[in-house]
Amino acid sequence: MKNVLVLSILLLSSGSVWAQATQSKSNQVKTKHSKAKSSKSKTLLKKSYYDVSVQYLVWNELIEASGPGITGDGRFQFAGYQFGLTHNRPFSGIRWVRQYASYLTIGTAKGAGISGTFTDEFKNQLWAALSVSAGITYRTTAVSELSLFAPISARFISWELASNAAIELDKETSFSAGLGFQFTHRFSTRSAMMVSVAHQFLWEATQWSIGYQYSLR
Amino acid sequence: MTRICLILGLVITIFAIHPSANAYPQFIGYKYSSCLTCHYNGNGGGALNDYGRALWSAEIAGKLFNGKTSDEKLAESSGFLGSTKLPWWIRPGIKARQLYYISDMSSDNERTDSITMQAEANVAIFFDRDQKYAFVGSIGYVPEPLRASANTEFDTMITREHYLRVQTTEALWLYIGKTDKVYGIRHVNHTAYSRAFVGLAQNDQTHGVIAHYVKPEWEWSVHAFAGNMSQDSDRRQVGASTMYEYELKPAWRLGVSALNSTNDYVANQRFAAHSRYGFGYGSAILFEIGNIKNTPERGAGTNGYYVYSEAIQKMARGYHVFVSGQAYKEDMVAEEADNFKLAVGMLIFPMARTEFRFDLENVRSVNPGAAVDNDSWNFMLQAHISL
Repeated sequence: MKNVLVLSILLLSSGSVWAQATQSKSNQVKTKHSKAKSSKSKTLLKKSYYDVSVQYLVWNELIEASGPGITGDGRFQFAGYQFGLTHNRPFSGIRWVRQYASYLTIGTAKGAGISGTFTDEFKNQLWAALSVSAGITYRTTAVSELSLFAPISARFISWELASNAAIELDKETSFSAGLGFQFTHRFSTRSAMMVSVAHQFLWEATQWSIGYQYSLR
Repeated sequence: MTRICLILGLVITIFAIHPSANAYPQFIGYKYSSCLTCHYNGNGGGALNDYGRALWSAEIAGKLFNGKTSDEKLAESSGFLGSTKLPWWIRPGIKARQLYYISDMSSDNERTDSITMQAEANVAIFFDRDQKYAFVGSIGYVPEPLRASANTEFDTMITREHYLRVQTTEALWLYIGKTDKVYGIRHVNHTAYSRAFVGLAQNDQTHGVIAHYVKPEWEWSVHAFAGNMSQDSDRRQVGASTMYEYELKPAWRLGVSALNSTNDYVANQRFAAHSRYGFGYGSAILFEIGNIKNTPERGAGTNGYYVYSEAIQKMARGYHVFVSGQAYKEDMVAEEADNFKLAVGMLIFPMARTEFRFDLENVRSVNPGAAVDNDSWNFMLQAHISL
């Protein structure tokens, strides 16, 4: 824009009225074009849209075991992939966004007894979780976002024990609610990478995640 | 004659009684790509030059208690004695850094402590007005390591940096003396895997010669070192390191580093690639991945990896939020655990000459077997004053 202005002044001073008129016309076209582009991008930022995402999650959690002659806690590590659909609703200008998300997470857990008479070891225990989350995002720059979110999760673990095992593990079905913090970096208006940390209060677990997000705009 | 006596006096004082290695490669987010812009040491860390002091006051730091003062005024009063001009040939400085931390929070091993990490005086003395020839040094207090044995004598007064700097051509700078080793991203977190396990922790400086070639689009440093002369000769790591950084596009630099050194007990080889990417205004992403190979004289060697990453966001002038992720594996064999650290925190410069840093760090390991180690939580609060 600045260059065009300088060019216009130069052309004016050379007395080339025709050139100036042409340039001025070109200015108008350029200005219109950039205005249209700018208003389009602002509209895009203000419009509601959906994201789909896939994240890798990992966390540690204590699980109680009981049975004849067995009592104690085991420490388990849960790792899995989370598939999400998020509805984003911008509000208060283009900076703030409200988010409502639902997730399906599937993975495996491993662990071992750490207290009492519980000394068994476990591997490849399948689990699945359904979660919903409400959050708020602040767009710090055109390519980065910070979010706070509150997930509520229901999880089902399919404990696979040896056929003769007389042991019962807790939390086959369990629920938790938490609070999390997420950093998102956008590679383009559609693609983004995110890192989050969330504490699940009822599970007493801190979940780490890293993932990829694709915006359906 | 008086000046020579003063210079000699200062040099002797500095050697008799130390600077910090506080560098902010994140400031590529403010479009400052090269460390040379703000530091006497072109590879970063240590005392700030006049431009660095002014920039910190007028652009980076917040305006707590001086909201009505113009940026120009803030820059003018950023010197050691405020706006009082010092002679052209001397630039002194004082730095103090206090750490309050809680490690292994909510566990049986919880520990709370406060450590004076740094209390030092530094000085830059110039031998010509163009600052082509300069001496930079520091001296001060260093805390005794927690793991130091009762029988080991530990000197709590050290000099971490003292060197002669010579600018030989427009682009070539030579540093002769004690400095940090040239390698990777030089950030402030000396407990990070990328510093602590690479051999670049807070007291791992070395005596040597650095050649630093600086062009607008790229920088290359080569460091030949003979070890830390204040250590016993058998423990001195003797070798060389190098770092090359290329500016792919404005505020995005890619780099590679290598280090090879040895003493009587162990040979160290390190290799790393890194990226420093600035975006918006004041926000950046740092990423470094590297290989750590240790070959001891006796016993089996290790060949591990590390990752350091940090995303920092400017929220308001002087106030930044960051997320940091790290990974480390001592030896790349199946039975070895992978260690991870995830931290969130704030880096705050509420006003000129002050800095606060909060870190809440979650440490976790992933073992190949069924056993799961407990997570640990660390909280750190640092207060830093720089005069």
